[in-house]
Amino acid sequence: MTPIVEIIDLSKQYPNTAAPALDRVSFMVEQGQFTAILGRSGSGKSTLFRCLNLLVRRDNGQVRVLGKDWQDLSSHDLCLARRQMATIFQQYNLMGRLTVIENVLAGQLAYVQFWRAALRRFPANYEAWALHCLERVGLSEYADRRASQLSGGQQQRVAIARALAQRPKIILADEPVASLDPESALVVLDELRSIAKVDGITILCSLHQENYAMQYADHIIGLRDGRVVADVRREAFTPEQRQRIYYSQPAAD
Amino acid sequence: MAMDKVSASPFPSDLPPYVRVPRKGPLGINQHVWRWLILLVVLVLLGGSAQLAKVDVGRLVQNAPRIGLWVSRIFPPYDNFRSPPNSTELNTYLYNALTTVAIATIGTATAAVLAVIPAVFATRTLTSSNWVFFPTRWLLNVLRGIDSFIFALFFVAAVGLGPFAGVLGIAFHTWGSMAKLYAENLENTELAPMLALQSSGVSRPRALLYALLPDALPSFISTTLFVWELNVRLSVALGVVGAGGIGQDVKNAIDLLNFPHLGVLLLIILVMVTVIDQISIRLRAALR
Ligand SMILES: Nc1ncnc2c1ncn2[C@@H]1O[C@H](COP(=O)(O)OP(=O)(O)OP(=O)(O)O)[C@@H](O)[C@H]1O
Ligand SMILES: [Mg+2]
Repeated sequence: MTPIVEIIDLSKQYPNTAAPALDRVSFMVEQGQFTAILGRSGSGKSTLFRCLNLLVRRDNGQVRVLGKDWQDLSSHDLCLARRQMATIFQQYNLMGRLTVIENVLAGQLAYVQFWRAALRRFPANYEAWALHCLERVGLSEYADRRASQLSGGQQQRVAIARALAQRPKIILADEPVASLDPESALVVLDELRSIAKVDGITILCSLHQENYAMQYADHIIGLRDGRVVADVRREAFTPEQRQRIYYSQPAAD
Repeated sequence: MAMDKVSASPFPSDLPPYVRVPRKGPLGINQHVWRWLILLVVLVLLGGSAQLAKVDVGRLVQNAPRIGLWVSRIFPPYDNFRSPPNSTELNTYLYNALTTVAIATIGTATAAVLAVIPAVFATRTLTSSNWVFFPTRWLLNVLRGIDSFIFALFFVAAVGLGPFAGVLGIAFHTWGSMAKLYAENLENTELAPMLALQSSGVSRPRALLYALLPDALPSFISTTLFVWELNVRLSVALGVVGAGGIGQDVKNAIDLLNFPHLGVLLLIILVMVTVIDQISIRLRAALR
């Protein structure tokens, strides 16, 4: 199978910092898989995602998503390419003052005429699709509530619905459950899992906790101080790899 | 009986003492010396200002009786020489008061609409290009730096006497100051929801409209109402330079020493300003 994401020797150092946030990172992701990115705080997980959706520019290396290097694209073409990828954030990043359904409709915002975007008036079939996506995460009865009135777990499910509404090929989820209680965390991860299985959408999900990865992931990438220290199928994940990701011994090679 | 002796402190008494290290301010001068220096500078500045502005308390005291006489002739608004305004005059005054509110309202509204786009360009977190950011800031500073009063004088000369000159005066100055206030509102608005949309392929203008604007809107409206309130008070004064409204009547009454009319006019202005303040305050409270 051809990889949907291909990262080769990716390096990134923020200005005025002592060490690179990412140091020659290489790995591949196959279509339709649930890949967990494990690593301690500061290991570079968010930076990796920002290099994928081009919220930051990398210093070195190659990143191919869907066969293309997005960093070469014009800003217009980048907009078009980014429609293939949705991102879910730890802090949900919903528009708190808008309704839940308007938040989900934002997933289709790139596809409507400008006046519709400005007036938040979407065609009927867009609204029906958004409602369908909201049903998928079990929140259709909240459609007309203000997003800020929902609980954290519910807001994260709205973010998932928005990602679904976008019909992406890839979903990046940056610590989607780090702000949630264990019960809501499982609901959210179940949701992501089923998206990978049912819709064939490739999922990259960064996690703090290894047990979630063992429960949900097909593949595990371990980051430590900006380097890849594990890259294995879940079944093959060993205690030594766990050690390399989490404990204070110098990272190998 | 032992109660009296309980004055013993509950805290340990055998710890090493705290020795205050004198804190150095800039230039290695002690902080408390700095404090006195700053106070001295402020006093000198205030003294100089009083000198330049020809502050003369003696003159104020000397003329206090005249001021008292004027006030007593204004309230109650009639005397032996002149009658209070008749109903026709009163209607004119009320109409002009309404004109004053209208000048402020349309001037503020125009400025509010014009201010949105420059506000985005004048927000550092939204505009990274120096070629856009700095020229916008300069333009806004120029607009803001010239008072409505000066603008109105200019427009009276350009478009003639009357309320329209007042509208233009208010609109131009307010354009600058409102855009700066909006920019401050935008700086305090969370960017993450907008970036989230952009990261999934939504263009910047759309993301601004869909994610940032709804979030910033309450503070925009609140700012606008506050500026409107200021502008209503200001547009009273604009009448004095011939830009229409009730200020013109005030100037006439003072020029003719027509105290009964002046009293009525001041009452109208007081009521008008109070009503506008209340409307503005209530609407702003409702936004929270
Ligand atoms: N905008 C930035 N400017 C400078 N340094 C940054 C910036 N963002 C991240 N870093 C640094 O880059 C390194 C990796 O950060 P990153 O946010 O990618 O880690 P993370 O794995 O997502 O951590 P967490 O689990 O806490 O979210 C850290 O050392 C961090 O201090
Ligand atoms: Mg992070």
